[in-house]
Amino acid sequence: MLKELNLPFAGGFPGKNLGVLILAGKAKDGELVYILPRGNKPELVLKVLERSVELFGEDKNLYRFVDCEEYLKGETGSRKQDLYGRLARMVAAVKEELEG
Amino acid sequence: MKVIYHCYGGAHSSVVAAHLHLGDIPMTGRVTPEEICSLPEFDQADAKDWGKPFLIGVDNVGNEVYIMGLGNQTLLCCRAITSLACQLGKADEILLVKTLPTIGLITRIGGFASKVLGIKIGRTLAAIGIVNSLPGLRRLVGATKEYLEWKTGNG
Repeated sequence: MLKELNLPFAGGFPGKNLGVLILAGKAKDGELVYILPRGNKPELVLKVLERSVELFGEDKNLYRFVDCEEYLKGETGSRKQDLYGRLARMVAAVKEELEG
Repeated sequence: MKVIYHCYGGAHSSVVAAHLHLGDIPMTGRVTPEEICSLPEFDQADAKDWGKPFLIGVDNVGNEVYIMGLGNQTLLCCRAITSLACQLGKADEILLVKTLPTIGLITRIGGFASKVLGIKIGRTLAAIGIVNSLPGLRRLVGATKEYLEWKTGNG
């Protein structure tokens, strides 16, 4: 489905890119949007990133880490064909949270 | 500069490397297993502490010295920290130093016995292993300090 949309990076990343933050672009409201290929054990790398934000003296409240796979797992009626719709709902929820 | 000595558990080799860096353990001469065991952070960190940089102290030229355990995801986590630093324009502020290759089998067995099996003698075994591995740890810390001097111009 994502491949059909012909988006950059939709084909995934090779192993050597796991853990590398990739800037996808700037959203309408100015927030920077990154992609992180986090491998199949995300807990540690996400914790490392959250802690590193503080280590570098950044305000951790300005960062929002969204584990897409974890989020999509929680979605009900998760038919494969509906992936785009589920992703759209996830992004809408994240944006709503950012606005709130 | 922030220097992070990291290993598997953040409880043994990285702790000793950080204290060597800070001068709490001498860079030459004999060190006993008891001195190693008396380091406050030695054999303390658990799996729940992995991924958290823990500040041990600040060296004589102002570098912050941290320890961190990264489990078996060293490469992935180091990439994450480095890429975040790059995105923030702070790549020059951090140095990640892997201490695990400097230690031998005795420390690994001791660490496993202490942290996984919960056997008390594991702590002593790990300390004995560290004493045996001190030459390698000292070389690593020495090279790190030389690099920092070159990088920061603090000779």
